[in-house]
Formats: sequence, C-alpha cells, structure tokens
Amino acid sequence: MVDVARSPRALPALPGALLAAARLPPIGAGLLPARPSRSLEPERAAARDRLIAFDRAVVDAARPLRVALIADEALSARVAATCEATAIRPEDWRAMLTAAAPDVLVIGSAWYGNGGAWQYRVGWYAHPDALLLPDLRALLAWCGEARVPSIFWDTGGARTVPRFGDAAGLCDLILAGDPATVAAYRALPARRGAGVVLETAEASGTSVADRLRSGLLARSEATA
Amino acid sequence: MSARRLEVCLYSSANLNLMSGSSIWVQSVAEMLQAGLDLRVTMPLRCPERRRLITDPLRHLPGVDLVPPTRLRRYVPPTGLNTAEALDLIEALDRERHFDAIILRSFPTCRAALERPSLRGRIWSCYILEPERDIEDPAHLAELTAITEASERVLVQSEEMRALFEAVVPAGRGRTIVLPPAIPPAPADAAAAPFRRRLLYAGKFHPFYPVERMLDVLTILRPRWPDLEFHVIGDQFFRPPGDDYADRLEQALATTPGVVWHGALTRAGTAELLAQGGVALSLWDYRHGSTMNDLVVSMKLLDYCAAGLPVVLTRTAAQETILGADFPLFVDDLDQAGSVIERVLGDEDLYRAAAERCRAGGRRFEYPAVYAGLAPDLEGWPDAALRQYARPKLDGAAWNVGLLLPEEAIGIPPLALALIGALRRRDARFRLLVGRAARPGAAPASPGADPAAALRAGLPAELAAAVSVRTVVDEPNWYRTIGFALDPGGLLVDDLKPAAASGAVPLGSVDPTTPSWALQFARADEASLVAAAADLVNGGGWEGASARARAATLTGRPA
Repeated sequence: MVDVARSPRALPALPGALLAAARLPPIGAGLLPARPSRSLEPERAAARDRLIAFDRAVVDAARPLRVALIADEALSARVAATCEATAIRPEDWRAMLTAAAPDVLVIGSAWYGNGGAWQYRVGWYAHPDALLLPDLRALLAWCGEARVPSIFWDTGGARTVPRFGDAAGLCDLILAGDPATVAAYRALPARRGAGVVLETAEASGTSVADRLRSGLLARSEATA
Repeated sequence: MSARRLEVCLYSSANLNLMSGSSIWVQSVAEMLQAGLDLRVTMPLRCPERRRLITDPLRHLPGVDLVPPTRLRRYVPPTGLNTAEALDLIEALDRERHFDAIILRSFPTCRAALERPSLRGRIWSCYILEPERDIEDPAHLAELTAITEASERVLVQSEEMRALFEAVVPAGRGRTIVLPPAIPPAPADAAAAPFRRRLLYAGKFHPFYPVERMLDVLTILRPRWPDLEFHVIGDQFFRPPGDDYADRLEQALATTPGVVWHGALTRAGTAELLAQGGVALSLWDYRHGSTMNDLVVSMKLLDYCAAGLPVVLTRTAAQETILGADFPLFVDDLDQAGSVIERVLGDEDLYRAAAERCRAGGRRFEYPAVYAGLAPDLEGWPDAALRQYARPKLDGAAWNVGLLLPEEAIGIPPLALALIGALRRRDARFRLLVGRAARPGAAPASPGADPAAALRAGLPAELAAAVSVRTVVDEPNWYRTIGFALDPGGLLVDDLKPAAASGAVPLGSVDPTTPSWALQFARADEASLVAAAADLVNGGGWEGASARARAATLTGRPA
C-alpha cells in the first residue's frame, strides 16, 4: 500500500516563491562527487613496457633472478629459496639498489615487511606513512626510472584487498591466489599496473623463480 | 587567556533554509559549543531566513546569536551573500566582538579569508579537505598549504582525516584538531530503540546514497513481511543536468508500496521518529563518490546511533573505528545489503545487540565529549600543545619500543640494544624503532637515503632486522607507532612528556632527576625493565599503563 497521505507530494501546493526557496540548489557543485578522473594510461603503458622487457630478458636467463624484496616471512622464504633475494629497508634501499640493480621488485601483502622494516608502510592504516604510501611511491618511482618492473604478490586473499589495494595498485603487475581476489584487484579504480595474474594454489608448489619466468605479462593479458 | 567570555564566530556557507547534512552540522556545532563554560557563538547567516527548521532551534540556545545577512546590507537575494560579502560581515562583527576563534567551514571560504589581513593567522579552518577536490593536484595542495599557514587551527572530521590531511599538507602538523560531528547527550541508562520491523533513511537524495537500491530491497522483502514500511526523511535532491535521477526517485518514493516519505523534518523531529524503532540504512555507492568519504564520520550514522537503532551500513575505516570491525551489520558490497537487512529484520536478538553497539559507539560523539576535544585549544589550557601528541596508537604499536635520539647521535646506545635483545628472547614481536630527531621545520629525509641509516653501523647481525631507524620530522605521528618510550640513560626527565602524552609507556631506570609523574614507570635495572615491558604487553596491562602515562602528563583545564 502506498502511504500517499503521508508523502510530501500530497501536501497542499505551496506558493511558488516558497517552493522555489525550498528547492534552492545546494551550495557547491554537487554532493560527494568522485575525485576528478585522471588518465592512468601512460602509467599502464610504461608498466607494460617494463614487463615486456623483463619477460624477454629472464625467460631463458641462466643466472639466478635478482629480486629486491619486501615481504613477510612465508613469502620471503619462498622467494629466497630460488632467487637471489635482497630484503630492502625504507631508510637505505637507494644505495643498495643503485649498487646492484635487481631484475625485479617483489612486494608482498606484508603486515611487517622484512622483519618489521615496512610495518605501517605497505598496508592501509590511518597514518601519514600509510595513506599516501610515500616510501613505496619513492621506491617505485626509482624502479620505474631504472626499468625494474614491480610485482605485488598477494598472499592474504580477497578480505585483505581493502588493506593492500592502494599499494598493489601502484605496482606494474599483481599476482593473486584465487579468482575472487583477482577480480577484487582488477576492480581497483586507481590501478596503475598492466594487469592481474592468477597464481593458483597448484602453482604455489613450483619455484618462485619459475613463476616469475613464466611470461607474466602474456599470462595477464590472456586472462584479462 | 583572559577570564572574559569567549567569543566564537561560526560560519558555514550552508543554506540553513535547507535540511541537509551541512546545515545540520552547523546546528550540531552550535549546540555542542554550549558545553563551554562561558562562551558566545556568533553565527552570521549567508542566506535570509525563509524556513526555520534549523534556525529556530538555534535561536533558542542561550549562547547563540544569529546574525542575518541583512546586517551587511538592506536587500539580500534568496541566494544569500557571496563569499566576499560574508567575510565583510564577519570582519565587521569581529571589530565589535573581538573573536577568540573564527571557525570557517569549507575550502572556498577559507581560501577567500586568506586575503583578509585581519583574519590571517586567526582562522580555525574547518573541513578544508573536500572529497571533490584532487589532492594530487599540486595547485590545490599549494592552496591547502596557504590556508593552513594562515590558520591558527585546522579542524578535521576524524582521526583518519587528520592522518590524510597531515600526509598531504605537512604544514598542518601540530595545528590540527579533530572535530567530529556531535550528537545530543542521552541519559546513561537510555534504552535502545524498540524492535520494530521497518526500514529508515534520513538524508540527502544523491546517487552516492543508493535509495533506489533500498527501495528494491523493500520490494523484495515485502512478500515475507507484507506490513514492512520504509520511512524516508529528507527533501534535498541532487539534480544533475540532463539526468532524470531526481524525478525518477521522487516518483519511486511516491509510488513504491510501503514507503512513507516524511519530507524534511527538524533534527528533533527526526530523532523522535527514529526513536520509535526500525533498521536504519547508511549505504554508499562508490561509483558516485570519492573513497575519501571512507575517512569521514557520518552525521547520519551518529543520528541513528543516538536513537539507539541498529544500522546496516557500508564498511569503512572510520565506521569500523566507531562500531568495531566485528559489527555484524557491515556491508562490504552493496549486493550484500538485502541479505543483511533481511537477517536483522528476522532476528530480534541480532537487532537488539546491534542497536546496543550503535548506541555505545555514538557515545563519544555526544556534545560534552566532542567539546572536550576542542576545549584545550579554545580555552587556552596549558597542556594544549602537548595534546597534539595524544592520538590513537596504531595496531601492533605496543610491541614497538621507541628511542628518540638527538640529531647529532652517532650510534644506538648499547643498553637499548641489550634491552631489545632481551625482550625479543621473551617475545620475538618486540622491535626497536629508533628516531633521529630533526630540527623544527626540517624537510623529511629522502626516501631510501635517510641520514639516520648511519645509526645502523655496527648493529649486531642478530638484531639487524629488529631495528628500524628514521629521521623523525613529525613526532606526534611517529609516537603513534610505538608502545614504549625508552630512555637508556636512565634519565626519565620531562623530555619524555610528549612520549607519555602519546600513551607510550616510559621505559627507563630511576634517577635523581626523574620527575614525580614518571616515578611509577621507573625500574631499577635492565632486567626489571625487560620484565615490566614484556609483562605489560603480554599480561594485558599495557593499555592501562598507556592511559596512566597520558593522564600523568595531560593536566587538563587549569583551576
């Protein structure tokens, strides 16, 4: 039943001027609009270029992959098992990476990151270190200029995407372990990378080096 | 500060003839300021009064003086004063009343106020970080910085917004105050609203608030509960050019079975209707709004909480802070809303538990609690500056031992390393966060090349991963990351006051210079310090010790 009797539409007609005053437009252009959109295509194209170069260079490389790493213990152990991993710190990564540029930067969905060095600087917290991710952005800017691709490796699943979405969205590629998480990362409005790749549980038994050499961009584009 | 009555000017460009979140906010701030001891609030109105839903309640407040725009000139059109004229009026009133604080809401108003020499340095700029503006635009950042530098204080909506503001506008550090929306105090024994199977929405009509989806849920649930009603309060429609959104929604509100549309009500009238019970809805559709709204405390939510209603709402950081991350009626995705609403309508126990949680969550936004956050700066308390440090700790901070060293330090004191080593043998979650103090106003260290990294020289390999170092240019926010403040020299001097005000538990041995407030935290030797810290964190006593540290240093309103 429509309760028309209690609807404002059913009120006696108001004098025109009063009605006009009641309907004055609100101050400002609108209510809670989205931020102005900015094209992310140039950044996505640059990410794609870095991944193309990486995929070409490492597929058949005989030497171990050099990985600059930010991760919690489990992923750190997996990466270190088959790659030449360097755990980097916010305060002194620049000299380390300049001295020996890595093939790739891997950032895990890390709560602590390398024993705590990146605590509050990867995941979302209401804190200036975390909200705009200044440390990660600087690191990723350096990697971009040095043509080092960046990979965000999610190990937390879909529930933690709100926590790590901002960091993941800055990286050239995102690896996630199940379709729901892949979908959640693909839906990020500000994702600047070239794609999201499904890394299934079955694949987790193979070495990280093999996974990184598996033609990441092509896999991303095949499933996009 | 003199003992005379405090004079506060409160101005918002909101049109108080309209019932909207912005105009209700103005009313709520004026009401909240009544909690002050001796204070007059002068409120210049932008628009001539045509409707008194907001202004009449204000007029009845003893400490409020509404100033019509016609005070500036005889004829003012219905659209009201422009920004320059409003500032002319404020300046004229200031010459008469000598305001102690001039609270101006919105970015455009504050930006215009910069040009007024009489106002520069005296503005309390309020809510200038607006979701519709691009915080990555350097020109906008420059304007925010200019406003901030011309402001005595910057008022932000929530702790989360404070963090974002200080991240994008470093000039704001040290002068931000959290001023959330405020709700009327309820009696301590006030009951939650009775169980009633109906839905409630009060607010604007804008695609960001998906009322059309709520109507769909109503229609889906009516076959199960044929008497289910959806009570809707509000009359302010977003009318984008070339889009029939408003007409479509008006039509739906008028014709959907079960809808009872009340139009605009006074705040008190809304409260009365809400108090009769029901399930309140506060859902957001991010396709039509910025995710910066995640950081905002919703007036609508607080009004629902004040009424003791269970609220089905979108999960956001700020709302998790209010209700707890485990609140059962959070919706992660709009598609879940229908099932959550159905669940609470069909489960009276869940309804009551959620209503109680909402009632409790809203308590800290009642007028006296909100005024208490403003009072130290407004009334000029001696500890106002120290209160900049009194901010919530981050999750996990309790295991972080902080050590702030002078800028010229060349190494980490061995005692600190021994202590962290011993703590980690008891609990490997303990870490040492070493800060290297920077001169006031110093620029942040270059990421990846922080001079503080030199402090790592000679660090034992087994502790390398457990020690972080950084140059600290923002002490209040650095202190949010630590649970203990270590003074390895054994000198618990007054230098530790900011740390203690932050809630970091002082950690050090007793010394003749130890001030009396810190004696309760002092221990005789390293072993006692290790045992005390580990026991506090793992025995559940850390939060109490943190609160005692704050209480010992924040002395409150002078007698």
